[in-house]
Amino acid sequence: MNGEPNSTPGGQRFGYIAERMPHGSGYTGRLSTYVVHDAESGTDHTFMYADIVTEGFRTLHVGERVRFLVDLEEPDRARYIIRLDMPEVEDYYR
Amino acid sequence: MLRRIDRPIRFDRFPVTVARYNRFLEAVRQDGSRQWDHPDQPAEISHEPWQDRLRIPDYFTDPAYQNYPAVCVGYWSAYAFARYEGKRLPTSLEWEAAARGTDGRLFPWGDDIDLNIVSCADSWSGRKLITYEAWREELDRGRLAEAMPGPVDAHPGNISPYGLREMAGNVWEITATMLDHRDEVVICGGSYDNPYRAVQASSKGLARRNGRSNVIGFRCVEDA
Repeated sequence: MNGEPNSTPGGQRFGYIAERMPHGSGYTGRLSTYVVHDAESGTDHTFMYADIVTEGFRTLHVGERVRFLVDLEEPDRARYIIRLDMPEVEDYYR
Repeated sequence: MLRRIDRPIRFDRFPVTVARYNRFLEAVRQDGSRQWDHPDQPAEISHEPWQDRLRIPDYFTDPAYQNYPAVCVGYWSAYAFARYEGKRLPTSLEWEAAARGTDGRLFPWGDDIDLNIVSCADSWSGRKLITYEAWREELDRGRLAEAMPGPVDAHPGNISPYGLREMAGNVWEITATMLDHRDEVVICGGSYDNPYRAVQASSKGLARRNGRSNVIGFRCVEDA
């Protein structure tokens, strides 16, 4: 993420979705799990669909840019995943 | 942003049910679907529901679910189904206009919050989930474990100014609207696992054309 804020421990990080697996989360294990790659530190972190912060439908694409948090106590996991490349409002009306 | 619908259209009153979709599947199993398929549909696409993702494995075979919305079928299948019935998918603009009418209401029935007439996370929880943190806490504690699609006619009060039922909540609905440079379609209306603020008449999301989900169904329109 050129020019983006750095990935300080416990702070906001920037990266992209490296892998999406169709199963592994949700009450029945039938919902998607993801791997996000920290673009600055080079580390990978897993998260479940519910970690995507939105009011609506939760999904992400491989390669999609996101920002996220990592707890020091649980460094393998990411949380508070926020999509960065959302379309403009008018794009939804065609 | 004001938009106008220039042509008269007739919407399905309800989302497509399992019973309707099963009739389509019978026709496809007998004669194939080539005459209804989207010209860009990938060769590997099947119109069968994604069994591994279905939260209720016998959803499409247990008669108890015949009046429930068809889910775990994606854009390609929704497109083919609509053509099978001589219809098409609505655009996102048509969908929102049908849900909101001309007075800009928040919900199909008006502006009032009523947990008794919509299937959403708040109604399954029994309390209002105002923030993401509140929704997440409810999910992590297992209080949304029973949330699932419900019958398409379960909430007579969930009705738009034009008489369309169950547009808010229950399941997102696939539209024909695609975004440039993204293999995604716009989905509308929110679903049973979303908080109340996500089941408005203007609520929109994006779903991959190859994707299928327990929270996504569809309805059709025909040009009048």
